[in-house]
Amino acid sequence: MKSLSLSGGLLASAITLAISLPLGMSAQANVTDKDILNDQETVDDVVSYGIGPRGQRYSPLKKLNTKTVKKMHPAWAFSFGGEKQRGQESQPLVKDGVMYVTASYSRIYAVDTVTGEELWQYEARLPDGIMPCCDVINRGAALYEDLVIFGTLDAKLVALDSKTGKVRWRKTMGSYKAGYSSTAAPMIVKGMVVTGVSGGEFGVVGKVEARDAKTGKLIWTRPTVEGHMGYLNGEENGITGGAANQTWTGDLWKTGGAATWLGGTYDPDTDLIFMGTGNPSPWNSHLRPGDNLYSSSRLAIDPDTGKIVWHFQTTPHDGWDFDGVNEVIAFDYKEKGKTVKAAATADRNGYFYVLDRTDGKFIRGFPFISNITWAKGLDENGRPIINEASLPGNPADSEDGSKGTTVFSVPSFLGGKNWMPMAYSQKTELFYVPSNEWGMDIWNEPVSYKKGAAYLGSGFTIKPIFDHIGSLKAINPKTGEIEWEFKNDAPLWGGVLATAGNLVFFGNPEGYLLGLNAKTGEVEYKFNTGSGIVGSPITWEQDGEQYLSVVSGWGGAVPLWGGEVAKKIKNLNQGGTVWTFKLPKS
Amino acid sequence: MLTGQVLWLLLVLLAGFSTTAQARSYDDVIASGYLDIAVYREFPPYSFMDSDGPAGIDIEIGKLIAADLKLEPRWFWLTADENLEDDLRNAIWKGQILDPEKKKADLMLRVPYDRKFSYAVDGYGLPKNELVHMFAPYQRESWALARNLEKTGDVRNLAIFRYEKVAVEIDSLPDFFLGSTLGGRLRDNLVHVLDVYAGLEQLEAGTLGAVAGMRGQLQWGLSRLAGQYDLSADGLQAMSLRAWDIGMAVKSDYRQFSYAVEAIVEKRIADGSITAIFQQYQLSYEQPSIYAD
Repeated sequence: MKSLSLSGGLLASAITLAISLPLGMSAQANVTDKDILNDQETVDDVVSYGIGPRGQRYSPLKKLNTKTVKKMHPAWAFSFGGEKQRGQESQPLVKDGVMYVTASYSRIYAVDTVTGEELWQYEARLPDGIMPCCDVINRGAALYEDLVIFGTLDAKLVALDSKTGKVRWRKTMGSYKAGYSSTAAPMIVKGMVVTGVSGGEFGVVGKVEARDAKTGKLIWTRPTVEGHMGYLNGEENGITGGAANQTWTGDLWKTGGAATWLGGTYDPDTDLIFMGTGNPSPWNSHLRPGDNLYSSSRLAIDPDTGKIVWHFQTTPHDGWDFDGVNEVIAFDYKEKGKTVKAAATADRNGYFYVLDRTDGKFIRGFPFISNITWAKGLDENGRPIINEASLPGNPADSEDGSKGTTVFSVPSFLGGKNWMPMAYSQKTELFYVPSNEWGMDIWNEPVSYKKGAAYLGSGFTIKPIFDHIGSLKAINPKTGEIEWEFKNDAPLWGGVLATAGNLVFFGNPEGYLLGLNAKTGEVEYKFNTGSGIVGSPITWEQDGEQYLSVVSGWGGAVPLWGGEVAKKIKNLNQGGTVWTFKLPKS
Repeated sequence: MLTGQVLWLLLVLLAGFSTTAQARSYDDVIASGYLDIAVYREFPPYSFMDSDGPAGIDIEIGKLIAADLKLEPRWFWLTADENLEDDLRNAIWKGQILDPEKKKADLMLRVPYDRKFSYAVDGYGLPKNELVHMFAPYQRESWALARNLEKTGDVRNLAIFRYEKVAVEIDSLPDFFLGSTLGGRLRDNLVHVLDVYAGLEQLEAGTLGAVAGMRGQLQWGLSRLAGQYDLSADGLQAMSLRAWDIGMAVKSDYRQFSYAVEAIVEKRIADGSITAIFQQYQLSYEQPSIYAD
């Protein structure tokens, strides 16, 4: 279903603008590669997911600051409408007075940034019987030239005309019948749209693909599991990892998992794409001895060739469902008078890693959550020192029909930090990490069935460790110290924004948009949006006023897992609204 | 089995759900003239589409039940999720996540009938499947190996698969069993396939010693191959669950409907109608364990 509408008000203002502008200049300029590279510095727009290719989610704007933020108030709210609510994990984009925001069930809207009026909407026609894992979310779009590009739940990449919302091109990233899906925001690198793909089960193999952003034509594809051939312009371009069966047994590499479901970031300094990979398949780690490369890893990929330049595996031989997909954020810091070209990532497995982004070498790593059980620490190369006593049992040991031993493991499989992106403030030089403190009981489930057949599953129950689960932490990447912590009752599931106004913005499942003092963690601003926030806020400047937007709408993976976590979230209501705030001029 | 406390909680839960329930009671179903039956999508020989429309053993059994109730059968095609709990949620008590109307089936077929599963509890000791009632076993299913005897010779145990390849459906119990038995020594010879039919194609092409899978699927697949193959459970004796019963499910507050269906199933097993359906698809029929002796 697709519906189009053009607001009379905007049409009128567009005509006015056109008259006042010199001939040949359009009111809505095209988004260029340069605009995307400079996104972080240009405060009047947000043209990329992550607010710039590095994904630092930092804005130099400071009209909103610890002194003024209390005066910030809502300017407008826009509802996605319909009965289709569920999780809204989107980050909006803003260009020339138009906001482009995606919603659950593969929908996207163009909205006037001043009035909140809808300009057009596009709803992907999803096939019957598709079974996406987890929730029907979408995390955002990419802008390039006059196109808005986003991925849909049936693993299509769709480019729309940014003025009309009409389809300009549409490409298949994988077969939804084979288990592929797409929820991440695409990114633009050197005129190419670069995407990963979702689908952790059913023997799907992860891949990174680059297409000509204007036409959708495939340029290169890079599988993320050792043994699979990559392609560049239709020609063979080297096997991932050199050859099969170095870190896998039998034919399991053919169906090895390592889905790139969260997309990536790009660092213009080193000219590298950073992409994380999910857990290996099958889930039963006892069947696949070895490191299982490149599952649960971070990959650095050359955008010109699609070749892997370096890799860093956070969880070798993953048996805890610790996807390694979390964002890699490039940042520089000074040490002994020298600039270190670093990159940071906070993993599902509970460790925060600082890497040399030129070669992937481990600089330092430390836990960012409490009471980690699965590893005793990291060795000098950043490899985890596994705690053998906390390994989940071999399901084969349940062949006698007994449940086997239950192991309590921290963090839970939803991770010390899940998909929700952290922010890096260039002003405080701290990372603001949305984390969760929880563990899980895991056991083998001998009485289990799958599609009419007997099966051996694994059972798990997520349990909190403290009174709270959510924890936003200000982390010093140079020392590993946690400078302050904001505790939240429910698990945090939304992204973070840091600003030069010494503020850190994020939302919580209880529905609040929160503005914290970046130096102390004190709450400077609080507003309830009426449904839980699991999206990522943005800020921009328009007509001399600083705006801030966040999408509200509770959902995502957390509500799908019950147990004691359910007590904290059972009364949260669904929604689907973009809230936009601003600081009045006077 | 259930303690008073748990039973009380169960009743509270049921009361809460019945107010929002859209699955239909016995009277509603009979009055409507049709029966919504959930069957797995693309799952031969049980339920699939052939050139003449819906076909398969479960389709025939569904037609039989509907006819005995004087109802028109309607098919609720179910895409298999990660496990049976998910399928029961999607088909019987909640509906599918992508369906805003949350349509549900009145009856689901091919639901394993296992009291241990029906009364299983979660990590808190609470019942896991309290929203569905599982009943009316109509078949006994088991694991089997389809062997190419030219490759495996007269070796009836698993040792031969140190030398010959054996196909398993990815993430299935034979995958787990053959991947971990004998200290993992068969691991390098496992060929992972998306379904047993992909394995049978390779068996016919002569690249495999055997295919492991459900007896029903292997029988049906072998009946369509030209060559002669051996089908048995030899070598699988050490598997924890070698055979299990297949029955049906309804939402737990529609028991009256399940009693009516159960009576039909018992009658049709006794009069040979079910056996005839299996024969129609070249399958041998094994009665559920409650009918044994």
